[in-house]
Amino acid sequence: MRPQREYHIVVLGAGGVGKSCLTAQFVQNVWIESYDPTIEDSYRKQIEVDGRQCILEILDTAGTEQFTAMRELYMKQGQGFLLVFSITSMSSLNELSELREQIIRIKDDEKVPLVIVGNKSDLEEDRAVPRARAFGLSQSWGNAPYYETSARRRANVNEVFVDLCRQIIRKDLQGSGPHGDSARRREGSGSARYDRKNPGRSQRRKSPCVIL
Amino acid sequence: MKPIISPLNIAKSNYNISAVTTFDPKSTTSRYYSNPGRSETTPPMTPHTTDTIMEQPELEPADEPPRAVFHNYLRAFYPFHPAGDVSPSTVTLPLDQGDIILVHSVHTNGWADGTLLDSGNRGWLPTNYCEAYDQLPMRPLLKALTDFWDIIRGGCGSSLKDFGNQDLMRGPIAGRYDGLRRIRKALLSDLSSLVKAAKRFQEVANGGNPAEDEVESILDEMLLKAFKIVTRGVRFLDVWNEEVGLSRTIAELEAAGGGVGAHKLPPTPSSETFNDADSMAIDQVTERNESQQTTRGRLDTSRLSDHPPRPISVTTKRISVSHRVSYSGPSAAIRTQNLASERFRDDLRCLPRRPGIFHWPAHAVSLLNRAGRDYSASCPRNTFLEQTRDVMCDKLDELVHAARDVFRPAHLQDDDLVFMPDGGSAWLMLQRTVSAPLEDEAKRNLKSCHCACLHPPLTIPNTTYSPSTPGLTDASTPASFQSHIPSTATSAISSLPNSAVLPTHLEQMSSFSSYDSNYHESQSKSDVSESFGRGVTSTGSSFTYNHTRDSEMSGVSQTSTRATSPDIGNSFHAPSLKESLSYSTLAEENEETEANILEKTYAHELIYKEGHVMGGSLRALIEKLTAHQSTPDALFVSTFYLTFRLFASPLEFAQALAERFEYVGDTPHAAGPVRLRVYNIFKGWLESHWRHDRDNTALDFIVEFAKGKLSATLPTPGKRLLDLAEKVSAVGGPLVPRLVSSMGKTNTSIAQYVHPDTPLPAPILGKKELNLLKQWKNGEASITILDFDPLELARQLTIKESRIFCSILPEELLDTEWTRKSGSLAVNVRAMSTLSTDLAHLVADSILCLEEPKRRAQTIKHWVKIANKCLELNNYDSLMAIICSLNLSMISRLKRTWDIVSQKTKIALEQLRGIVDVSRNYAVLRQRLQNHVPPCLPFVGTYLTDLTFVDHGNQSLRTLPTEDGEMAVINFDKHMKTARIISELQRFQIPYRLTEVPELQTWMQNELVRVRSNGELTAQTFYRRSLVLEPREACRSGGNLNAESNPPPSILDNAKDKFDFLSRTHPSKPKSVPTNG
Repeated sequence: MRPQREYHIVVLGAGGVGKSCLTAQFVQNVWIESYDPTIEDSYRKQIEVDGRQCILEILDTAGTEQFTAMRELYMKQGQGFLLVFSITSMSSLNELSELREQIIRIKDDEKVPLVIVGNKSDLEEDRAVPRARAFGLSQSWGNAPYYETSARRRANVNEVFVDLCRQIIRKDLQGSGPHGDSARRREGSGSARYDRKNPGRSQRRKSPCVIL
Repeated sequence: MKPIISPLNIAKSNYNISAVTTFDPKSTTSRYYSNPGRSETTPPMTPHTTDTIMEQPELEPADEPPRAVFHNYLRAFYPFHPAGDVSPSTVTLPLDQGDIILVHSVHTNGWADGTLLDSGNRGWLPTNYCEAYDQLPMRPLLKALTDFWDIIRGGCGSSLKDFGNQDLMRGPIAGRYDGLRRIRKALLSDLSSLVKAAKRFQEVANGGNPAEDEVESILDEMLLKAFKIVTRGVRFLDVWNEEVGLSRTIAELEAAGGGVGAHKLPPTPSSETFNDADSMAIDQVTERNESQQTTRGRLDTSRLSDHPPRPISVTTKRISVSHRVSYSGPSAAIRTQNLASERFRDDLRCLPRRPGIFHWPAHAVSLLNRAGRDYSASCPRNTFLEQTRDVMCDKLDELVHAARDVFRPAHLQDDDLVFMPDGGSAWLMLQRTVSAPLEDEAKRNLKSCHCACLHPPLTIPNTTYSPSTPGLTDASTPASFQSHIPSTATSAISSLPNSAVLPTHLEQMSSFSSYDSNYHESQSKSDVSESFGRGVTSTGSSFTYNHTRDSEMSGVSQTSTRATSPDIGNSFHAPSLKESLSYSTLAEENEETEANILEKTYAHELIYKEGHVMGGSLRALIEKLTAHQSTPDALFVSTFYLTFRLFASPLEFAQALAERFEYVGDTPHAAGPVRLRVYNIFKGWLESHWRHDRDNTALDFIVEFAKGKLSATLPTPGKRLLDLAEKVSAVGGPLVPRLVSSMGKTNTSIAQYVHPDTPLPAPILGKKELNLLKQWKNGEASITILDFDPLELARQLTIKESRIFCSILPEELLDTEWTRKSGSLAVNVRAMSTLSTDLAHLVADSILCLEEPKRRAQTIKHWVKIANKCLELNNYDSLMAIICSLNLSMISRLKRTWDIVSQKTKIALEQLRGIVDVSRNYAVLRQRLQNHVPPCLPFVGTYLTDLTFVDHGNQSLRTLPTEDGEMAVINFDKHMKTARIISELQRFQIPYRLTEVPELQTWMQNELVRVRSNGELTAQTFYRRSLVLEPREACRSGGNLNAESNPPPSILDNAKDKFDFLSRTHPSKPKSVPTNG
């Protein structure tokens, strides 16, 4: 349809879960050794999803978690949401529910594009959130895709954004078609499974990720 | 009063011309003169600007005040008694009306570091309470005091010598004599006591090895006495002005104006070159101007300090001028080490040299004659000029005699205090003689130039010479000229028609400089270039306005100026750290040379990119921090102090410094300055950057170091550091409290100064409102925001927020301290976010508590007005909170309410939304803040996000490829970025000038606390309330306007309503939320 579109992605999650690392890793050009967050392009990135060129603008609330009143401002802007927790902190997982409620309230849409991200997968030894637990949450949220990432090792970072972008595009194309939801959901989980089947691609280095 | 941007209003002066020519530390002419006719944004810094002015005084509108001028003296016009308003970590100086303050530096935020002459206390004071004190008759006296201060506080080593020669003493006295020409008894007695002290000092100075303490105390005493004299002088003048009135002052003005003109000395040595060149007048005019500058420079010194340009003292003085603000420069401090002996030697050495120097006025006259001849020959029409020249020559002869008279006593080493009056009169004569004809000539010159369309040549020297600015007033240090000229030569030559002129010029300069360098025994060369570096930066430090030329550098040195510790007595021998670090300019140029010179260096362990240090090993960074020749810029240093704990433990830092102290010993010529810098770093750390919670582990090591290695090499600094360490362990806080925001301020933005006479805006609060507040306090009435004027509410909000914002410490912003779940030290950052959230909730609450849509709409309208006023006050933080709140879904979904809200309000809200738009990384907001002038309350969130991303988006280490593989070094760039963001925030840490209304504050606080008490549930409570007020459209029977809602209301909405309520009824199990999927 449209060759290039701009999508707003909002990264949410408790403080200290490594949201900013995730965003920085995604946005940052690997070859640029110094990241300056103060310029306009600091949070924009062009990616190709299923042959489509998309510009993603990431809104990351990192550092301002305590400005709770500000959250809605971000959420209103967003078309897709990354809900990030740290696999080393159960409370960070618990905080996601409230965020999702708020998103749904604001977007007035149960099926808002959303990805659950368990970050810090490189700290497997400190894991406090069993995968089953995260998986359960994903199910209760209508099979929202769940990824485990390691921003530090740059594992699965791109994948979460691509998945989210794919959801947004799908929603965009389908409009408010009645069958859109289930299709999206299947696709979401499909992509995750795809990753598991090809560990070489998604599980860079030794971090095991992407569980459904 | 007239609207001016300058913080200092000098229009109160009776003398309009004095308002144009401003006061300056080194010369009676204004060095940092701001030409009103020029560009507003770039305060001119060339003294040549002054030339232009003086040549055409009538062209300049005298009543138009200069814009950005550094004034050495301020006079308090309002009493200032800091209460709790200012941060407790600030040393503020209470002022009484009429107090005179010697200013060391002015920060762009309007605070100045100054010494109160009445008491000798030093501290920060608000310039908007003061105005520049620059009365013409007082000028020489004030100037003399500045010099006095410079010498005592600046170049400690040579000061003794200066006093031994007594030359200096004549400065104040002659000045007074000249300026007031009326002797009052009180003044005299003060004077004589100063003289007595000076005598005593001389005895001490000349009498072998004086104890340091003794010297120090005498100097202090003298300084205080000098202060007293000035204070008295000021009072005297006040009385005088009152009694004698204007007629008298005009006469005074004329006389003094002549004095000012004295600087327009005729061309000297370089004019010789004219002889051969029978070139056009154009060249000569140009040359003339140039040589005038040179001459004037030289003459200045001799004139001002009443003695010939003795290189050492002069050099020291230029250091001290540049950095009066802080204390002495390294060279001075080095001299301090072997103070006693060298002082004496210098003393002796100075004597024979003098007579030779005295020849130059005579020489000048002869040269002048020639130049004049040449000049008139080429402009035969200009008979008037010829006349003037003759007159001038006569006068110059007088001058020479007078000058000799002045200097004679000094030769004889008599108690020449007796001759003081003579000196004074000679002085006066000198000024008069020179100025009278010259001013005429200058006008003449100008006219003829204009006639002949010689405009460009006239201006060229101004521009080409501009780099030498800071040096020029003390330009008598020929070395400074030497170093200036190469840098400017190219441009100068290319722009001058007669390029042959300049090289000659240079030669002469260098001959002077070689003569000069005899004095620098150990490190002459480096000293010279260093002093040059300092000279350049000094523009930034003593002149706190920014200019474009070396914008970053000067901005930087301004920072360091600010950080200066306002302690008076102690730092005598201690070159203050920040100051030594502010000589930044030559850093880059010297880097290569330095690498060659240093025998042992870790310079290869540094990573550079575009001239900036991006990374390096700790020892390499330390080396950079204490480079012997080049000086790291202030941002580098402040970054170090602020962030070193993130990449090294305090102990490691101390050890690395000590190691540097040690290994630089292998490089003898660099050892001196480097060791002092190491000491300075320690000193600055202990004095104002010590964090007791983190750094105490290093204290033992520092004590060890001070006792051992440091004392062995530099006994006095060793002792001083030991004292400091003791104090640090005894005192809880920083020894020398710095302003909250002393770290950053590296920004080049120019603060807007509120006119000093602007009264605080009166609160918009009638009797009715006050009564309401009173009733509310007694529990008799309830009040809402509608009861108050939006502007007043915005003001009170601003005051409240600004207070917290201004007390944010840099430490709070490091290492995402504020996000720490427990025990966060970032109390103020947290308070900011709490207040912001509370305010947002208060907005929501005030709307949702109302039953009637009409009243809700009214309240919304009122909040939009308040937000608008916040914007007018540049309070973006409150603006953000209010707009966020109005954007909340629970508010925005109230369709019945919004239908009533007027279109006008909606448009206004839309505009405000556009400003706080989060998209494109807050592009709109950032754009607005970029060139914003404080006072301003930026939205703190963006800084917090930036800091988080710098922290998380940049590695803490970098890899440096080496010969045998690679090594990991500290990613210093990351820390520089952090420091830059923090300094960006600090730029706005300037209190507002608004009147607090305690009653209103109490009410607001009460309201904020009330909404906060709902705690975590606030948002949910609000949403429920919102649903009750205006139920979902689908549930309503006859919803008239639902077109606006994007997704048409459906069964889903119903379900969601249920869902929302359910989630509230089971808050303990939020995850068991039933969903359709």
